[in-house]
Amino acid sequence: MTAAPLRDPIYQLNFVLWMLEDLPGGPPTRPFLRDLGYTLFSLGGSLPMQPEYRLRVAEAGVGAGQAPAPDVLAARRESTEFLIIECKGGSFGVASSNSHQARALLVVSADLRGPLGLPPRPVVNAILSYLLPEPEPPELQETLEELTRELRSVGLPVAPFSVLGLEERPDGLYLTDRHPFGTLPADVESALGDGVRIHEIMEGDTGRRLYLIPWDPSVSQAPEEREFCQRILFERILAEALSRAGRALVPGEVRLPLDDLLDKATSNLARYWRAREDVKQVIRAIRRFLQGAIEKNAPGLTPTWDRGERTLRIPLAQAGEHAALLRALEEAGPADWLSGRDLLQAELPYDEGDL
Amino acid sequence: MASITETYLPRLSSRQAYLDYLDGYAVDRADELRVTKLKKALVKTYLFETVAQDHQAPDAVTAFQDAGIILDRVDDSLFTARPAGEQDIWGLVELLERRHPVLYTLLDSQSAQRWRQNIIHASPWLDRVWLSAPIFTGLWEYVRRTCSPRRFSRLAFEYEARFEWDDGGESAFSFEQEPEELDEEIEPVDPSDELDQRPERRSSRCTVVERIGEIEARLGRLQDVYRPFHSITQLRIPAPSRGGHDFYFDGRVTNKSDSFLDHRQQVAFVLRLYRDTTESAEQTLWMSAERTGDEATEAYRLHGAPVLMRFSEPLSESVFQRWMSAMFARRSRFRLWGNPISVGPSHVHVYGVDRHLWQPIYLEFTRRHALAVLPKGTCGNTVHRLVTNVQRFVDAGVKSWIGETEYASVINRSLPTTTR
Repeated sequence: MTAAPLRDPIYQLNFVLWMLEDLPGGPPTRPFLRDLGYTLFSLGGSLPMQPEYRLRVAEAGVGAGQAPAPDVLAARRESTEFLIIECKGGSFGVASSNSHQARALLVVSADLRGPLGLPPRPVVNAILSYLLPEPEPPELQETLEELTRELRSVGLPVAPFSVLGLEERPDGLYLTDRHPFGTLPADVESALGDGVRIHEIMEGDTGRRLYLIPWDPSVSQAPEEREFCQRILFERILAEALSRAGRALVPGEVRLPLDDLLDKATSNLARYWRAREDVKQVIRAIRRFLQGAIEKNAPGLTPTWDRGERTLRIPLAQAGEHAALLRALEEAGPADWLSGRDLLQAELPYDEGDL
Repeated sequence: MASITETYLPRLSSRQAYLDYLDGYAVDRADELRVTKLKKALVKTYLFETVAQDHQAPDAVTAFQDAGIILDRVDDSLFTARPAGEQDIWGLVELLERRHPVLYTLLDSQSAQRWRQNIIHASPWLDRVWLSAPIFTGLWEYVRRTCSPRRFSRLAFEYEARFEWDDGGESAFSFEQEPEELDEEIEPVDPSDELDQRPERRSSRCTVVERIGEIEARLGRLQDVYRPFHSITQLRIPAPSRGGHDFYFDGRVTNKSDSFLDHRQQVAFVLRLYRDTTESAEQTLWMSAERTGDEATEAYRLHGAPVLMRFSEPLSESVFQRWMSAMFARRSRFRLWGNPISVGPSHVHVYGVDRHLWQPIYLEFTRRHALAVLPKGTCGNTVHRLVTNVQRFVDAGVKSWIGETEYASVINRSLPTTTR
């Protein structure tokens, strides 16, 4: 695995998050947006459309959602200036279902005071920026211009927009802006220039930084990227399980509450996954993975399943059992276990009614 | 040589009685040191980390008891200590800082270190305090500003290019062949009269005992021309009258002054610096997301920053590969567990666990940098240990940042303003 997967939404989201990270200047990563004063305001937050615009949208028969949820909302200057970033794997046309969201974002972003619950003060500026791999930005630029004309023609306000590109060059991963000057704030455009290097790449390394967000089941990904992200998720779950097992006192009991492991492994984001059925499926898979590893690698141990608490319990009578449990988990090997497995269509657990 | 029975503590009735006893003992030892006839052990102090207190972690006293140490209360923060099954008092445990208990003992050096090692291995809640080179640099600044330039101090530097050697083209490297960490912590035996069959590699160990003014005048230049001089692993903080307090990188302190009370104060001072630095790092680093908004507008915000370690020059491909193959071995001194994910020929991601305190840590390695993300709750002590070991074994000139702030600045901010 060498090239950065520029079309993958999870990769793109992590790319944006690294641009907002609190990092020193210089390699390996330039926190470009942070350097310009932006901080992360929210991830995936929905922006309910202003009621008067909803009415106009309905009357004009415009295809637009009522509460778009962009991937990233960044703010600067004490939350008076917002940058909305929506990650896309590729361009789309006016007839695409993505235009439904784009129209809503263009309208809602025209004034964020209401959608964000900000105090009544002069209009809060926001710029809608799409991020997608080069060479796709010019095509999307045309689509957004057409959507803007359409919305203005029915009297709706429209936020300024830009299309940012992601490009891999021999020495690094660049953020580009093909949009004519004037949309983005002057300091941002000036800093972007002909493209700004975000991740420096030296021989042997790649443009992949650590994944701060490991996976989201609602995101559509190519199979190899989904496999990569699911492996990260399960490595993190295993780390959480080992963390609990390692701190156990003997004699005693190791408790592995699977919802909690999943929350911790996703930096608490699993609790916001939209489809609760996805959470149940993943919990089932985690149980199969952990319980299977313990039963296979430490046959002397007898993990039991607490259905009410959705918790694996492993009693430990003596130090040897503790050591055996740690070794069993250390040898669990998420990569092998996940190979060829679809988490969201995992086989049923030990008992169908368990979860 | 004193027998071990002479190094147990007597049963006394109060804190004052114990402090008087250790103070008097220190005066006697200082006299023996002065005439170079030291026969009895010095007071040794061991600094512990117990993890920031949260709902899951036991308090310091419970952590010791869980490690098989019987603590008998002298007062609210001082306890006599002995291993379960023993009647003699092996040492005293004092809660000088909420999360940093200290152990005072008169046991000989090897017995004391083995005891400390056993305690740490028996408890997932206890670790050493790790005094990294930047922390020593901050302490050296304190020494320089508070002591006469004519006083003597002692600085030790250690660097071993553990993953760099001429192996004749062979690559049959196995970290399992390395000695256990336990062995390294005991005073090393001079290997000069033994046949050393290990591969040759760069290694620098140097101790400087010199007037403070002389060290100050030369240290910067030495560090400029030879990077291992950045890797400070020991420092003597001079006592007001004579001798001083020798602080080691792994949280050991030896009292070579004539005052136990001064020793105790210096230990408390260093612990406060360590605590402030650790807690400041944790506040900056802990990665977590929290929900904002209501049901209709729910969103989440991500908090936390990474630790970045930039190497002074790119590691060679062979050093990088050896380091990675050794880093997560069971007996590696880095004490980390994880399944390395190779995302490039010399680019590795690991979502693993710190084996000392069994807490998650996410790591990225390339030939030019190492980067760590600490999930919320992971002890900041992990950062000090990582920096200490990278500086000692990988790159003596490594520079580290906590978020956008240089690690050394975080330490300097924790020093009292009068010493800055």
